[in-house]
Amino acid sequence: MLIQTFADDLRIPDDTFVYRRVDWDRIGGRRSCPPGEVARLSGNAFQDYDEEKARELGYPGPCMSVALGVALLARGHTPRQAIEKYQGYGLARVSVAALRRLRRHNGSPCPQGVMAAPTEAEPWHGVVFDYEPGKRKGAVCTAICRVAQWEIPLING
Amino acid sequence: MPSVLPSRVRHSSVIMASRERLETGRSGTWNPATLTSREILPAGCFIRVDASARLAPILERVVDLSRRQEDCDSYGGRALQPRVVTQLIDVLAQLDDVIQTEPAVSMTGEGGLVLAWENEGYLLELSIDPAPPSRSEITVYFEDASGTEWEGPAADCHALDKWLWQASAAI
Repeated sequence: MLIQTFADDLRIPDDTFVYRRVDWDRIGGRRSCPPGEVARLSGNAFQDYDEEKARELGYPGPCMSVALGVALLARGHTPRQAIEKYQGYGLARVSVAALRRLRRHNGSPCPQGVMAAPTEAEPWHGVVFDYEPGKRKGAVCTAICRVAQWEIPLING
Repeated sequence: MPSVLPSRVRHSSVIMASRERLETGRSGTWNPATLTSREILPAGCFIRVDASARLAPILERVVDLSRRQEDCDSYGGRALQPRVVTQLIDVLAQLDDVIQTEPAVSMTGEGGLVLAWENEGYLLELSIDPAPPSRSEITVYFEDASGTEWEGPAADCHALDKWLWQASAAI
C-alpha cells in the first residue's frame, strides 16, 4: 500500500496551495458556460476516489489527488506543470489553510488533511482527505469549491 | 441508446401568480409542487413548455458524455455506466413537472452523473451513482441562501419537488 494511514502533514505549510486538474465534463461541459466566459467551478471537481479505486491506487481510503504547490516549487516547477501533459484541462487551486479550516455551508467544520503521496510520474503528487469516514460528501465538495479559485481557467472559446 | 423521451404529450398551460395559479398536470389535477408555498412560484406569468423540449438538451449532453473513454478525466475516471443512463431517464420522467431549466450535467469519477441547478438563492445537485443497485444510489444535495443544507438519498428527500422547483428557477 502506498500510504498506510492518512495523516495531515504539517510540513506542508498553510500558506501554500494544492492544485486540482479540471476538465469540462466535471463542471457541466461547455454548454453550461456562455461563449467567451470563464467556466464556473463546481463541487464535482473535488470528489474523492471511491473506496475501491482508492485501494487500487494504494490508499487506505477515499481521498482526492492533487499536486502539492510546495513540492512543485521545490522542483523548480510552476503549477502549470500539473497540466503539462493534459491538453484542454484547467487547473484549480485551493489554499492548504482553507482546507484545514474548511466549513460547510451551514457553518459546521469539516477540516481536510493534506499529505504527500509522490508517484514516479508525479513526484509532486499529494492527496487531500476528509477525516470523516467514507467518500467526501457533496456538501464538503461544495465547501471546497467555495474556497477554490482558478489557477489556469477553462474558458469557453 | 434506448428511446429516452416520454411518449405522453404535455399540454402547455399558463401559471399565474398567487390565487390565480393554475397548473394542470398530466391527469388534469392540481400539481402539489405548485401549492407547497407561495414563495415557490415567482410572481409573474410564464408558459410551461412541452417536457420533451426541456429534456432533449439533457439527453443530448448525456449522449456526448457516453462517448468518453475510461480515464478521460486524468484521475482514472470511469466511462459512463449504462445503468446510470437508465436511472437518469427514470428520474427525469418523475421530476419533469418541477424542472424549469436545463441543469449542468457532469460526469463523476465512478461513471455516474451529477445534475446541478444553481441560481442566486439555491443549489441542488442530483447525483446518480452506479455502485449500489438500490434507490439510495440517487442522492440529493441542497443548500439555500439562509444556510440550510440537506444531503441524503433521494428517497428520503421529501422536499425534493419543492427544492428542484426553486433551484431550477431562472432567477
